[in-house]
Amino acid sequence: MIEVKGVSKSYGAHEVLRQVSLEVEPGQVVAIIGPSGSGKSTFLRMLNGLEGFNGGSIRIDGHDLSVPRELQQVRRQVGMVFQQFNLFPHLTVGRNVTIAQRLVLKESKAAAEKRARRLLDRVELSEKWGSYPSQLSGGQQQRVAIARALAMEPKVMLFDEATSALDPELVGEVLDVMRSLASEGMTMLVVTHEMGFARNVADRVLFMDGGRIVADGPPGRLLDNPEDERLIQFLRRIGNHERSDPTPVSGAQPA
Amino acid sequence: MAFHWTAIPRFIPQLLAGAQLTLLITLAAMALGIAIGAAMAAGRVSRFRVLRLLAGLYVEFIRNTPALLQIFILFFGMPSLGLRMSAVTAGSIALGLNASAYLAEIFRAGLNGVPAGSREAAIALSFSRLHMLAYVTTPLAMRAAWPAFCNLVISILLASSLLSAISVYELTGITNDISTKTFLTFEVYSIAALFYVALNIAVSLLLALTGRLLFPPQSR
Ligand SMILES: Nc1ncnc2c1ncn2[C@@H]1O[C@H](COP(=O)(O)OP(=O)(O)O)[C@@H](O)[C@H]1O
Ligand SMILES: [Mg+2]
Repeated sequence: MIEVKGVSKSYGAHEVLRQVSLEVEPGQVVAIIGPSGSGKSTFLRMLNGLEGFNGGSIRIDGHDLSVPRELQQVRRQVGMVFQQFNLFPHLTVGRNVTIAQRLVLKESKAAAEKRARRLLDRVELSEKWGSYPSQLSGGQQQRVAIARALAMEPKVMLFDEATSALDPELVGEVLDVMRSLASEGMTMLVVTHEMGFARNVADRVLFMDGGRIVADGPPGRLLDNPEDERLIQFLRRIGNHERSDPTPVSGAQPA
Repeated sequence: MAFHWTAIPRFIPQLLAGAQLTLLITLAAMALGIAIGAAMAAGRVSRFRVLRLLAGLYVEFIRNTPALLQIFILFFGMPSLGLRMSAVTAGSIALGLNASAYLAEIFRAGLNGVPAGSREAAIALSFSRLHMLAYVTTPLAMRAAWPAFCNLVISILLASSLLSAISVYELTGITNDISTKTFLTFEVYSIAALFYVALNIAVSLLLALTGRLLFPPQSR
C-alpha cells in the first residue's frame, strides 16, 4: 500500500529526514513515536505531497508521488487529520464534510450529503450538521475533521498528533473513532504520544529519532522490550509504563 | 449675527441630489478600486519579482500623493494627452485609483489573514488551485479584510467632497454653490455636515448588515 524507498528531506543545510524507507501493508495500523523535531510530521506530510522530498521514491497504492499528475490521485486516496483540526472555519459542519466530495469527486449534492450524514452519524455528531466549527469543542472538531477526510473514501489515513491539542477529557472520544477505524481494516499511519493507543491498537510501532526510523516492530516488542538505547531513554522520558487497559483514555502528555 | 434656518428647507431637494451624486461617485470609485486593488494585491503576492515591484510602486506612488492632486491630474492633465472626460468621470476615476492603492493593502493583509491550516486542509483534500482560491482563500481573505474595507468606504465617501474642487455638484459642491448664491454660509454648511453624518451612518449600517450576512459571527 505504501512504499517508501530511501527518501531524504532537507531544509537548507538542515537534514530533517535521512534515507527513510518503509513498507506498509493494506490494513496495517502503524504508530509513529519519537521526540519532538525527529521528523515525524515531515515524514507524514510527505506521504500526501504537503512536503516535497529530495531523493528516493514514494509509491502509494501504485501511484508514484514524484509524478505531478499522480500526486492528485494520491491525495484523493490519502486522508489527513491535523493536530489543529484545520476545519474550514467559514463553512458549517455539513459543508466541511461535503465540499471536497462536490468539488473533487464531483458527487451530486444528494449523494454527498447522504455520505456526510452517514459519516457524521458514525462520529456521533449528526446533530451538528448546521453548526460552525467555532461552536464545537476541540474533540468534536477533530471528529468532524476525521469525517471530512473519510468522505473522500481514502485508502490510507494519516493522523498527525490528532489528540495533542485536545483537553485531556476529550482525547478519548477521538481515540475511540480512530480505534474503530483501525478495527475496520483502514490502513493508518498515526503519529502519537498516546502510548496506550500505540500499544493496544497499532500492529506496528516506528520509533523515529534524528530523521531516521531507528526501531520498527510490533508494539509488544518495541515498547516492552526495547533494545535501542535512544528508544529506552525516550520511553523513560515520557513515562511509558505497563498498561494493558484496552481503552486507555488517559490524556497523559509527554513533557 | 442672525441665522436664517427657515430659508433652508427650499434647498433640501438640491442637497438631496448632491447626496445622491456623492453616493454614486463613492460606488463607482469603490467598484473601480476593488477591481484594480484586487489585481494589485495579486501583483504584490505574485511569485514574479517584476510584478511585485510594479504593484508596490503603484501602491506607494498613490498613497504618497494627495488625492486632490490625483483628481487634478485626471481632470486637468489628461486632456493634454487627448483624453477628455467630464468632471464627474475624471473625479470618480481619480478617486477609484486612490481607493485601489489602499484596497490593495487591505486585500493583501486579508490574504495574510487566511489560516495556513485551512489551505493545507484544502491541499490534502486535493482541491484544485482554482477551487482553493474560490472556496477557501477568497472567502477567508474577505472575512479578514472586511472591517478595514468598511472603513475605507467611509474614507472614500468623505474624500468625494474633493470633487467640488473641479466643480462637481456632489454634496459639498452643491453646498458651495448654494452658499455663494445665498450667503447662508453657516446654515447650509451645517446642514451639509448633517447630511454627511446621515449618509455615513446609513452606509455603515448597510455594511454591518452585509457583514453579518456574509460572515456570521459564529463562522469565525
Ligand atoms: N518549514 C520548515 N523549515 C525549516 N525547518 C523545518 C520546517 N519544518 C520542519 N522543520 C524542522 O524539521 C525538523 C523536523 O520537524 P517535524 O517533522 O515537525 O518533527 P516532529 O513532527 O517529529 O516534531 C525540526 O528540526 C524542524 O525544526
Ligand atoms: Mg510534529
